[in-house]
Amino acid sequence: MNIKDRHDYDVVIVGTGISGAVLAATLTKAGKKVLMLEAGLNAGMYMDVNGSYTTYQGYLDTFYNAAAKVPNSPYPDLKNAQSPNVLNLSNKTPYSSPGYFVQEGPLPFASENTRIPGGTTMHWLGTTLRMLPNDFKMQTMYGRGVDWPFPYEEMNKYYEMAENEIGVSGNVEELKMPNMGENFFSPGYVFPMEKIPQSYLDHKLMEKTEGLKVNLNNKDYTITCISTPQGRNSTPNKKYRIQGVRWDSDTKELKLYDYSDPKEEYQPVASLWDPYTGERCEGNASCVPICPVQAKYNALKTLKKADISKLNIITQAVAVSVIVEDFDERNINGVVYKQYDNQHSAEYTTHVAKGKIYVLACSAIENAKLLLASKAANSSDQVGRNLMDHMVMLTWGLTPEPIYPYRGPGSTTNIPTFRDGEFRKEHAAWISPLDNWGWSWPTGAPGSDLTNAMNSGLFGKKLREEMNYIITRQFLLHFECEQIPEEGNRVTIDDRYLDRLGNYRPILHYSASDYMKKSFEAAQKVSEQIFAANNIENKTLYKPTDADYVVYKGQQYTFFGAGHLVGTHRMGTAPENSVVNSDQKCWDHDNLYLVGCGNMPTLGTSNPTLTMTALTFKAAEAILRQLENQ
Amino acid sequence: MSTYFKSDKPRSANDPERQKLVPEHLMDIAPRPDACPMDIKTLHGLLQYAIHLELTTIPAYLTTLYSIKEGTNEASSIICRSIAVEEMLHMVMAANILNAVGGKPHITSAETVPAYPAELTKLCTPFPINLEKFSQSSISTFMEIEQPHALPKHHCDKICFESIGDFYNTISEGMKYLEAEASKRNTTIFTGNHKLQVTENEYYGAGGKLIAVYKIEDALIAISEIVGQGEGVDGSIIDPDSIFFHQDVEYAHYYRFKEIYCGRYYCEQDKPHENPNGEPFPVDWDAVHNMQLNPKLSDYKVGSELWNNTYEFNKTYMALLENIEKACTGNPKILRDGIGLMYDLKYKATALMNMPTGNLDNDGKPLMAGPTFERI
Amino acid sequence: MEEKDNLPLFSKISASLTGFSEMELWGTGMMETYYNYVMGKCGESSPTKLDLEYFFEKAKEIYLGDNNDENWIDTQIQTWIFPPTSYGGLAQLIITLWYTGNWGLGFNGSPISAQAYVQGLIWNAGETHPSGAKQPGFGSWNIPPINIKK
Ligand SMILES: Cc1cc2nc3c(=O)[nH]c(=O)nc-3n(C[C@H](O)[C@H](O)[C@H](O)COP(=O)(O)OP(=O)(O)OC[C@H]3O[C@@H](n4cnc5c(N)ncnc54)[C@H](O)[C@@H]3O)c2cc1C
Ligand code: SF4
Repeated sequence: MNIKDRHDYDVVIVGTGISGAVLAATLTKAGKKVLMLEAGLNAGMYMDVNGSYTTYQGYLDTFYNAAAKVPNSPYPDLKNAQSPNVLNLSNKTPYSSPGYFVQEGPLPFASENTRIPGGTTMHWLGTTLRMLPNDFKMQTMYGRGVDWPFPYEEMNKYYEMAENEIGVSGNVEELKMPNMGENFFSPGYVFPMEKIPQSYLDHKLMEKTEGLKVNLNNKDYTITCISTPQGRNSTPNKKYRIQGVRWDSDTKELKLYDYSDPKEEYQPVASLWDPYTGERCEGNASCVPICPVQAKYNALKTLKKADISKLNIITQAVAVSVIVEDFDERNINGVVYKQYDNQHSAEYTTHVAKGKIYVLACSAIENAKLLLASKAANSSDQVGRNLMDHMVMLTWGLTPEPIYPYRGPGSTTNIPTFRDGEFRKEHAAWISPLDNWGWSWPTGAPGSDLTNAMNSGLFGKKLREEMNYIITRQFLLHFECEQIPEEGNRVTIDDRYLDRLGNYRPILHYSASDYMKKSFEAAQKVSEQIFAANNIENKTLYKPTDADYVVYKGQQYTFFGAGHLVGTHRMGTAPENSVVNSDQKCWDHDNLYLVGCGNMPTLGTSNPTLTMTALTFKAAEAILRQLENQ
Repeated sequence: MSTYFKSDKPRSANDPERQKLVPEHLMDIAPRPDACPMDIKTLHGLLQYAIHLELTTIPAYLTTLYSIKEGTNEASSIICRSIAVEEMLHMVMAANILNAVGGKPHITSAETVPAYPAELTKLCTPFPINLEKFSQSSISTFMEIEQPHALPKHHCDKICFESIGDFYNTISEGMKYLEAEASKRNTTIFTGNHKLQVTENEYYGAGGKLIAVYKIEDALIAISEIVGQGEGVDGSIIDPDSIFFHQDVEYAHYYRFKEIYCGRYYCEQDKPHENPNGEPFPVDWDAVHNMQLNPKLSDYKVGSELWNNTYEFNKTYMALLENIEKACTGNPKILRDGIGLMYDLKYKATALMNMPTGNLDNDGKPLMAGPTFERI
Repeated sequence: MEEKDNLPLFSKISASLTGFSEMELWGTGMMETYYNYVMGKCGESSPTKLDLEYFFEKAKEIYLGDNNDENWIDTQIQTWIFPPTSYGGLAQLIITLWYTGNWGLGFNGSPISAQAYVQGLIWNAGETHPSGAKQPGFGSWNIPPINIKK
C-alpha cells in the first residue's frame, strides 16, 4: 500500500522541529497514529547509529569548511525549501534577493530558522529561562502589548514538562529574578541536572558586577548575576525525581510521573549515535551552529523517544497549504505538499496528507505564510502580524586582565535585573547574558584581530603576543530587548515572490519603534556603568554599514536578531483579537492547531523556546482530549 | 513503521531492568572449600598491581590510537578508543576496590608508572609492551595482552600468574576468602570510607558503568566486568557488559583487536577460536604517523624543541595521574578537571607525532617523535 | 627544481612570520599540506610563480647566510618579506593560512580544508581551541586554561 494515500492518521504534523517532535512523541505514546511531513533532506532524519553519525559528521565537516561560521553554515542550503541566512542581510531595504526572505523593511528582519529534520534546535544555543509572571500581563501592568489569556501560574506544570523533555541543567536556588513571586517554582523543585559550570570570565566579571549599584533615569538598581538554565548535559541532580510525561485517559490530562524505583535517576540524553558521547557538555564552544557531541538538546532526541510503531515520517515533503473544506469552512481536509526526490532538481510530485487533526509546526514565519497561502484561520486579520524578536544590542570591550573567552557554552550567566520593572511603561525590558565567545559575533574576531594586527605591521613573536593579549581579554555583553507586538511588523505573501517549487516566499515588514530605541539608549547607560566598574576599555563600534540600526537622539544603535521568531499567529481571548485560543487551536477551524513561538502574544525577556515547548504540551493535551471525545 | 529508527534505546545505568541481568553466579560470595588463605596486605598489594597493570596498557593503547592519521582507519580508531577508555574505567574500578577494602591507591608512584618497553613481571611468561604506532606488530601485542586463557588448575603455591584472568581470579577468590573469615568474626573487610569511591557522577562517557564498591558483591561485579571486557567470559566472545547492560553487542577486547588484525568484524554466531566472519572493513596500515618505537626524553638534547615538547607532554601526563590519584584518595569531584588534561594529552601526543626527529627508518622514511609517557 | 626542495625554507620562514617555532608548526601536521598548497596557488595572477621564486630566493639569503641573529632576521623580514607589497602579498597570506587555515585575507578567506580550520594557530595563540573541535572537556571553561610549562 502506498503510505501517502492512507487516511487513517489521527494527527498530521507539519515540521519536525521541537514543537512537532514534542507533539509526535506525546501523541504516539498515548497511542495515536501520527504522520509527519518534513521539508528537509531524508538523510537528516536518520536516528540509527550509522545513519545519524554519518549525516552529522557531514554537517560538522561543512561547518569546518565554511568561510563564515554563521548559524546555518553546517546545514544543507536547499533550493527547494530555503532557509533564511544572516549572510544575506543588508540595510538597503527593500530587496528581494539574495536569500529566501523578501525584505520590505524599513529594517531587515535579521533572524532565521533552519529547515532540516530537527529544525532550528539543531543550531539553537539552548538557553531555557522561564518567562516572568508580569510578562503574562503586560497590558494590565504597563499598558503595553497584550495580556496572555492565562496567568503564569497555569504554565508551571507545562514548564516542568518542557524542562524534563529538553533536559535542563540549572540551579533553582540561584534563580532570583525581579518580581518572580513566591510560587515561581513548585516547592522543592529542582532541574534534571545541576547547573552548567559558570565560565571563568563569568566569575571574573561577577567580582565587580554582582551587587553593583547603577543609576538609570534617576532610579537606582542593584545588578545581580545568576547562572543560566540551559538545555545541555551536566551532572544529573539526584534530587530530581520526574521520569516523564504521560497521558492519563481517565482524567483526560497530561501528567508528570516520577521514577517508581528509588534507584532510578535522571539519565542525560546523549548523542543519537552513541550513549557515551555527549553525556556532558564537553566545551566545544560551537553550540551555535553545531554541537559536535550533541550534548546540547536537539529535537531529534525527542523524536527518537516517540512510539515508532505509531509514527510515519515523510521527508523532502514541503507543505504548500491546508485545504479548507468548501461546504463547511470549519474543517480542514488535508495538507497539500510537494515532495522532491533530489535536492539538486526542481522536480516534485504533489500529494495530500490526511488525518483527523492537523498541526502546523513550521516555525512562526512559515506557519503564517502557509495560513495566508491557504486563506485559513484569518478571520481576525491577525495572521502574519505582530512579528517579534529580541533586538540584541551588543557592547564590547577589553578587560584589564585575561578572562580567557572562546571557551565553554555561549553563555552561562545572565543579569536579570532589567527583566521587569516600572520602566516597562517607557521602554523595553531586557536580559543581559554575559557572552563566553569574545567579540566573534559583532566583529568577526578573532579572525578580524589577526587582520588588524597585520595591518599595524605585526608579524612573528610580536604578532603572537598581540593575538594572545587581545583574544584573552575580549568581553561581550548582550542586551536582548523585548520587542512588543505591533501590527505593522508582519509577514505577507505575493504572487510575485515564489521559490523554486513555486511556493510563496515570506515578505517581511519590520521596524523598531521608539519604545525599542529608548531601551537601547537605556541599555547603553547601564553598559557604561558596568564597563566602568570593571575597568573595561570600551571597544564598541557601530557602523553605518551595519544591517540593522536605528538612530535615536542623534546616536546610532546597532542591533542583531536573536533567532527568536515569535508572534505571527497570536493566542488570545477571542476570535476577534487572535488566531488561536489558549489550547492553540485556531478559532476559525475545528481541527487545525498551530504550535510554535508564533502563538506567543508577547515575548518577555526569556528566549522563547522553553515557554513555547510548555505551550506545546498544553496543545498536545488539548488534541488528546479532542481525539478521545470524538 | 518508520525506517529512520533502527537501534535500540540505550538503557540507563540505573535501570533496574538492566540490573536484573547480572548473572546469578557472579553474586556467589562464598569462597571455594579449598580456598587459598590470603592476608589483607597481600590483597592490597594485588589490587595495587592491578592499577599498575591497567596503567601499563593504557599508554600503549593510546599511543597506537593517536598514531592513526586523522580521518583514516575509522573503524580501527573507534575500536582502539573504546578499549583504551575501558581500560581507564578498569583502573579507576581497581582503585575503588582497593579503597573499599581499606587500602590506599597509588597512581603516581615509581612502581605504578611503567617505563617502556614495559613488562608485566607478575606474569609467568612476561613479554614486552611497547609504545608503538598502529601496526600489525602493535595490534598483535595487544591481542597477546588480552588473550583469553582457561583458568589454570587450582593450587595455592603460586609465584606468578598464567594470565591476566588468572590474576584477577586470584583477587576475587582472595576477597571471598577474607570476607568469609571476617564475617566469622562479625566484621568485614569492606571498611573503606564511602566518600573515597569515585561514582558514575564523576566518571561518565566511558565504555561501561563505573561501579562504586561498598560490599563484596560490588567488588565481584567490578572484577568480572574488568575481566569480561578484556578476555570475554565462558568461551563466548561477547563482553559481559552487553549481556548485563544491553548495549549494542560489544565484543571483548581480544576479539576487537583481532577484528582490526583481520580487517573484519565478528558476527554473533562466530565461535571464539575462529577468525571473524562478519562484515569486512578497510585497515590502512600506512595511514599512520611514522612514530619511532618507544621514544624517550633522553633521545633528545636537553632544551631542544623536541625535548621541550616531550617534557611538556610528560608534565601533562603526570598532572593527569596526580589528578586521578587525588580523585581516588578523597576528592572524587576533582576528576572533572582531569578530563581537560586527558584531552590536552591527546592534542600534545598528536603534535609530537607530527614532529620529525631527523632520523630515518629502515625504509628511509623520516621517523617522528611521539608521546613517551614518562614519570618525571 | 624538485618540488620539495624549499620545504625546509618554508618551515623556517613560516616560523619567523607566525611567531610559532618550527616544531610547533610541524606539530599541527599541516606543514607539507600548506607548502604544497602555496606552491600550487601561486600562478598566473598575484602572487605569481615568479613572486614565489623570488620569495624563496630572499629567504635563502636570510636563512642560509652566516648571520643567525634573530633580531637581524626579523629586520630582514620586516624590510623585504612582510610588506603586503612584497611578492604579491605572500607573507600575509602565509601567516593567515597558519593562523586560521584560510587562503585569502580577512573576509576574503576561506578554509582550504576542514583540518586546516581545526589546526588554526590563532586558537593556540589565544589559549583556547577552535570552536567546534579539540574539545577541552566538561567544566574546563570554569578554570583558566591548562597551562603546563616547565
Ligand atoms: C542562532 C539561534 C539561537 C537560538 N537560541 C535559542 C536559545 O538559546 N533559547 C531559545 O529558547 N531559543 C533559541 N532559538 C530559537 C529556537 O531555535 C526556536 O524557537 C525553536 O527551535 C523553534 O522550534 P519550532 O519547532 O517551532 O520550529 P523549527 O525548529 O524551526 O522547526 C520547523 C520545522 O518545520 C519544517 N518546515 C518548515 N517549513 C516547512 C514546510 N513548508 N513543509 C514541511 N516542513 C516544513 C522545518 O524543516 C523544521 O523541521 C535560537 C534560534 C537561533 C536561530
Ligand atoms: S559547549 Fe560544546 S559540547 Fe557544550 S553544548 Fe556547546 S557545542 Fe556542545
